[in-house]
Amino acid sequence: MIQKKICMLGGFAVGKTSLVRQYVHSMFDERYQTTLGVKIDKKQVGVDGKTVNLMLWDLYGEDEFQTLRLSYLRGTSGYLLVADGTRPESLDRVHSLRLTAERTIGKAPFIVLLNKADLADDWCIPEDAIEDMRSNGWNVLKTSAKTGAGVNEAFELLAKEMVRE
Amino acid sequence: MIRRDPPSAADVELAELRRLLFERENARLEKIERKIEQEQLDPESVSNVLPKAFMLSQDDPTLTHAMAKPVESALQRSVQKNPGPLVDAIYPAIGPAIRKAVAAAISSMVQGLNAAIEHSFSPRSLKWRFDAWRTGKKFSEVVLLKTLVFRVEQVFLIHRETGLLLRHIAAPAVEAKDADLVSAMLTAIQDFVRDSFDATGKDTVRTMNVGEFTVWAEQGPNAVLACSIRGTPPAELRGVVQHALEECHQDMAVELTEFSGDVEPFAATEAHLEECLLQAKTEKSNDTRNAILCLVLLAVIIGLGYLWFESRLRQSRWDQFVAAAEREPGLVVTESGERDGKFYIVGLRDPLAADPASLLGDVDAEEVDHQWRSYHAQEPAFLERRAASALRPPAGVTLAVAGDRIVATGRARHAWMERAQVAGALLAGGIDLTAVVDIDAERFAACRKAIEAAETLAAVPGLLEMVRELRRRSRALGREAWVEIDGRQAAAARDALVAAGADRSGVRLSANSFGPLDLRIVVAPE
Repeated sequence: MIQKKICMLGGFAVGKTSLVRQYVHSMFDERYQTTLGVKIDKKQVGVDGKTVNLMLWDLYGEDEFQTLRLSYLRGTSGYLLVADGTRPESLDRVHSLRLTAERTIGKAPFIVLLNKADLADDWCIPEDAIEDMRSNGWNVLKTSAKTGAGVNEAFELLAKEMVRE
Repeated sequence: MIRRDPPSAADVELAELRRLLFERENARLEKIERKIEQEQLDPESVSNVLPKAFMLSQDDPTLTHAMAKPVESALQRSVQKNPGPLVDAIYPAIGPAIRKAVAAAISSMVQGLNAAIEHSFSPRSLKWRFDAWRTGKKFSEVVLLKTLVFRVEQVFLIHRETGLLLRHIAAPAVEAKDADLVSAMLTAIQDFVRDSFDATGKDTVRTMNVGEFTVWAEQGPNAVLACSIRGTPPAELRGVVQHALEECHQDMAVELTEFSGDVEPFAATEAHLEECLLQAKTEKSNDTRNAILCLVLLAVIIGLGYLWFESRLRQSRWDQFVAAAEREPGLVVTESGERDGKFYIVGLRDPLAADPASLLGDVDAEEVDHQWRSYHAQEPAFLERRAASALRPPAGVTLAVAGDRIVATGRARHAWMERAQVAGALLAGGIDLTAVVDIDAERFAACRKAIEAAETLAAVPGLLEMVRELRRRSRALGREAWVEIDGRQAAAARDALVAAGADRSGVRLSANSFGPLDLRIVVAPE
């Protein structure tokens, strides 16, 4: 079995925790996030016939009460950058978090998740912005915590990227 | 002094030939020699020969001496610049070295402790001493072992950088939650505490206490060995954990430094982790101790219950005895109770009453102190019995109580009646003998009547016997009586009676010797 540590990064209330709530094995209470600044869950995916155990560190979305604890990024093999598709400013936060992560742990596979894809009417991120990111070689997926769309794909894609790294 | 011969012509020619043949080569050799002497050594060529030179000089103290200072300076410089690599390099060696030194210090301390408790004697210490002798351990070690209670329940080998679980083992029957998550969260907690409280970021949380649990996290350069321990772990356990971690580092050095998520190779560390799954119990487990305590308590309760029951039973028997004594005629209980573990009873007892000891029933006679004073009970039964005892009535007499008076009925000899009159006067109510027939008086009167009615000697059948009885009865009545005979045949009649065997003084002649025969009884005046 292969184990990998991945981090979930994103602005406040972009739906990181909701995104994984239904899809991971969880043991700890969500209050851990507000106290320790992180909640750790587990997700198993298969890559090339191997089982990959993803230890998912769901980091607290930075706000006025708490800042991102960079030490939690240590040893991360890959990360998910989550933005709220209905709030364009959350995408800016994704860019800054990517830079922070890269400065802290170096280059590592990551996937940008544009969450709340089910709210089509409120969707604010234009396709050209998405294409811009993809043109940089980034993996960008639309996800919905509500319907579950794209969630498993995101984990599997990141696992593949990490294993092949 | 050495004397040399002048060179021969052949030698000179040979030298000349040599010079002509090798002139150019000689010039080149001289040039190379000069170059070697004058020019500095080439690093590349030195690097080629240096390892061999070091090997050849292994036994040469000059090399060691020459290298001491530069190596010292180099180490100093390295540590000042970045101590990490050096610490990582010597980590597997420094742990055992420190432990050895600490063990030596503890050993001397233990010896002192040993000497201090050498003279303490108690049943438990004697048993421990026996165990020490049996197992070949020091007494102080046995004391430490016996007094500590702990159990290492889970051991986690965690990759230090990623917090990923490399290997996890748990003691039998321990319910282990998701070890992957626990391992990651332990790392997060370490990070959190370090971020929050340790500015240098180098120190780590080594101990966490949660209720009866202690979590120990020993840090190595690349891995963390965390143990969850129930109870109070001894300090020695830390050494065991450190040793296991060092072994893991030693065995898995490459796998740890180049770790990329594959945890399979770390199955090889399981033997080291199992070394940490230790436990120590006190001589008696808590369960056993509790069970014994319960049994002791139960025994005490049963014992106390038995004693209480015995005490109640004993008291109840005593109460029954006292009640029986109070009911018993002729016994008057004035005081009863218990003193100095012994019962006592005080009262009055009629000598004719039942023996109080016969009323004891199940009360142990040894436990009772009787203090009875004599008295005369006034109950009719006692009066009767006392009268019977005092009067000893003959077979034909019955005694009865009327009020406080004894009433006798029946027939009795005069002598008994006289005695009864005297003895009855001593009884409280006296004695009434009016209903008693005096046999002696009755027979006397009957004999008198029969004798006096006789007109001839022949008319009195058995006259002689009657005279004799009359005499006996009169004496029994305390009087002298005889037969006086009148008439002409008085003398013949007297002689005939005397001749038949009558007492001469019992048959007398009167002065009147005339007329018919007349027998008359004369009773002498009192």
